[in-house]
Amino acid sequence: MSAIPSLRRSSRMVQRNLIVYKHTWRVIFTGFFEPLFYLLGIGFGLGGMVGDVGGIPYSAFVAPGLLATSCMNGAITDGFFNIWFKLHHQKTYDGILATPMRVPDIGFGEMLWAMGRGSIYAAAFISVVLLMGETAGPRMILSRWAILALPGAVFACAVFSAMGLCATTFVRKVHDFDIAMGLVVMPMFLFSGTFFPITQFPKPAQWLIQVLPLHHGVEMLRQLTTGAVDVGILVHIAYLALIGAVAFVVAMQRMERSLIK
Amino acid sequence: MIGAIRMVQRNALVYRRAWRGSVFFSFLQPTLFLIAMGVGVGRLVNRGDASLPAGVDFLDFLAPGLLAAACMQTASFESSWPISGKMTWQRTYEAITATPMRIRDLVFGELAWMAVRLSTVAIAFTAIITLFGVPRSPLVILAVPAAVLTGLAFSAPIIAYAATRKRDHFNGLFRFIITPLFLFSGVFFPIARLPEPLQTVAWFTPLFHGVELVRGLTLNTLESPAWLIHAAYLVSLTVIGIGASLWAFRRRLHA
Amino acid sequence: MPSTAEPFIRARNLTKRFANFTAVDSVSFDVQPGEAFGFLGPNGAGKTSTMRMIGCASPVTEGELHVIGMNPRTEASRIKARLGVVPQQDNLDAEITVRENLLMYARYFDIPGPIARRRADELLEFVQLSERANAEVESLSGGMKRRLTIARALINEPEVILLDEPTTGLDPQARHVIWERLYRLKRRGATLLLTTHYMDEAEQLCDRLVVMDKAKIVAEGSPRQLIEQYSTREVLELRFSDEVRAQLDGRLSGLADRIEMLPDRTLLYTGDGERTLEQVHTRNIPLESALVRRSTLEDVFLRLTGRTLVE
Repeated sequence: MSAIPSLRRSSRMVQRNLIVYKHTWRVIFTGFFEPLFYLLGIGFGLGGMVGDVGGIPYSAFVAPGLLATSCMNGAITDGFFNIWFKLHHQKTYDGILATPMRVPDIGFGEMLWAMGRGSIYAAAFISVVLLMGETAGPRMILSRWAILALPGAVFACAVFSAMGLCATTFVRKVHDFDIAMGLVVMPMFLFSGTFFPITQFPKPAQWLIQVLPLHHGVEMLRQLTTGAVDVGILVHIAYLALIGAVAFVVAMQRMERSLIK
Repeated sequence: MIGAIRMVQRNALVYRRAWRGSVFFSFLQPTLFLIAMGVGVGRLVNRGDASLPAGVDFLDFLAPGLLAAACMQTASFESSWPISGKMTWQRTYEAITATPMRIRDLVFGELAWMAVRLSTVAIAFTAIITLFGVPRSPLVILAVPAAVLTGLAFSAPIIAYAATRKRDHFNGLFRFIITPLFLFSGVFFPIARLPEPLQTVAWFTPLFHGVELVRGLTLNTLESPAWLIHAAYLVSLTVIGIGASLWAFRRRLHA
Repeated sequence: MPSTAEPFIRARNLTKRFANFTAVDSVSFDVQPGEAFGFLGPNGAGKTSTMRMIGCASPVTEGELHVIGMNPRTEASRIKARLGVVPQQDNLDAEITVRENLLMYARYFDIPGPIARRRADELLEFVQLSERANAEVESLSGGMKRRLTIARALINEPEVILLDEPTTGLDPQARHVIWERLYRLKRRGATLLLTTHYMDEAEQLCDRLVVMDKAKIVAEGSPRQLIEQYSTREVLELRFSDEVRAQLDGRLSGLADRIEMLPDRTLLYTGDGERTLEQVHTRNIPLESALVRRSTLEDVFLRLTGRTLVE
């Protein structure tokens, strides 16, 4: 039933969102401050009381975690509600579906948009981290591998945006968002190894954490920014790719079902 | 006074149907922060040469801070979108002022309801930190009203702001005021660790005074003139906020 | 009606079933190019479901449907490229301005920028919204939103325009503005398909229509044909006091071809209303009021289904 999205038609969705954000670009601009504030508050403020973690300064430990978080924020948090509202309340997609655009075009377009927004946050975050490390110190980018952190972050954004789109199709009421944020996004943010190594937890809890996509995003990006790259990075990448692909297929099917009756 | 109670009744009626989401928002978030930061990061902190006041554990230091912050966040959230929604989108207030209810019934009613909501948050989270063995004295009972007061000091001015807004402009409020306050007002680390000029800025933020007051009562480290300053600061902000709210409501509804 | 060309839309035993009910039950009809074709019926008759199937917004459950010679199942995008759709509920893009709605819609049809801009401005002129071009959609009145939706449906210069209840919920003045614009489109030779439960709308705009009730087509023809076939030339509407009404039985018999007792009035179907009224007077039946009027599609519907259109 569901067809392969067309890149040309999907880009129309991105274009549409660009027009919307022409009026409200400040929102894009401000989204990246949140991880930055956390970097300053937790990485430096609280980090000043911490010392090294696994041989690297605490701020260098937290920075890639927050980079992954900003991918998630950009791709999920900020777009989540908006897509749902268009799906169920404004009937925007119904209007678009009266044209040659198809459901996969719309879905993939929204995903591209979310991915782009997450990538902008990520690029801005990397730049700030690099700049702060060079001027004020301490350095948070410890290796040349970090050159791959941006493509890595874009990849993570793609995965999170597919997850966000998928999750949106399950939301029935506005209050479900609070539940999703409280039960999924917030715990992922706090327990994915963003702020402390998950080895602090007992084994079963670690296994649980290893299910979380953000954990793999954090680990992947941390390997790249600290230079502690090993074969394990392939596992993280493969897991993320799998989750992203499944989420995308499920999202498309569910969107198709709720839009075509 | 009766009028204000009617407003509380109305909000309670709505809340009966929508409490689940706010439960997560109000209790779960601080609890998750307590576990992640207090326990997870806390272990890293205790290994270093931490310089926490009165030599407490990081978890004990953090917990009362999170209590005050939870009240700030709940109060800010509940005073922004819901209030502007009732003012602009749903026109609830307009409908209510067509009855014998007066403007001050609306404002005091909303604040009374906020106090009820904040009390539930504060009591629940105080219970949680008690489970973690944080409180050092029975004075922790007083941390509940102190946390509620912290919330009201945010709620009253934000209600005034929300009542003047035609469309929601609260993203900026949360991203540039509430989040930085949460991170830099002494919840996670003593403000003495901030660079010199920022310490002064932090001292003037309402959350700092809320955190100091709640932490002092929880850990029994309160000093005599200091607590008065904290409390007076929060009460003044609340009173100013109420005045501003009355003004803003009158301007919108009696224009 | 003899078909002069390949029909633009051809439906045979077209059926739409949802999980627990049948919305459209085996309907068949043809729409010719340049025709204004109407679906008249009360809410829930299956008009919208039929329109949605034609617009490729809803899959056909059973039967045959061809739109501009193509099958909606396999060629939805190509059909949609040549249709203009005005849905029952406006689904304008609320986050962008009036003009941007048209420009963006043009992009969905792959219409190049310069052409899109020219058409958008022409269409805003056509629906009298030029002055609101940069306004937000939310600031428009119901009638303006409707006009914008119509303009949006015309952005791809469609060969067929589907209008689902184009004027429902609008005040009389706004309705007349829309009728006037639709009439212009019709004169330009556009093929119009519209659903309505307003008989005056159907009479004004439709060359030919089908009457739908309970998922089926119950009659088909031009408005005049339908009235001639299913009603008399004139109708005498009588109102009685409650007491008179209660003891009316039989006192009106033989006065008209057909008598309908509605809750608030009694309708006598007759060739000459004035004469029938005189006969009522001679029988000494006390009246509260009397009105002679021409038959309308409302009467046709009442005859066919035993119910009124708007309840």
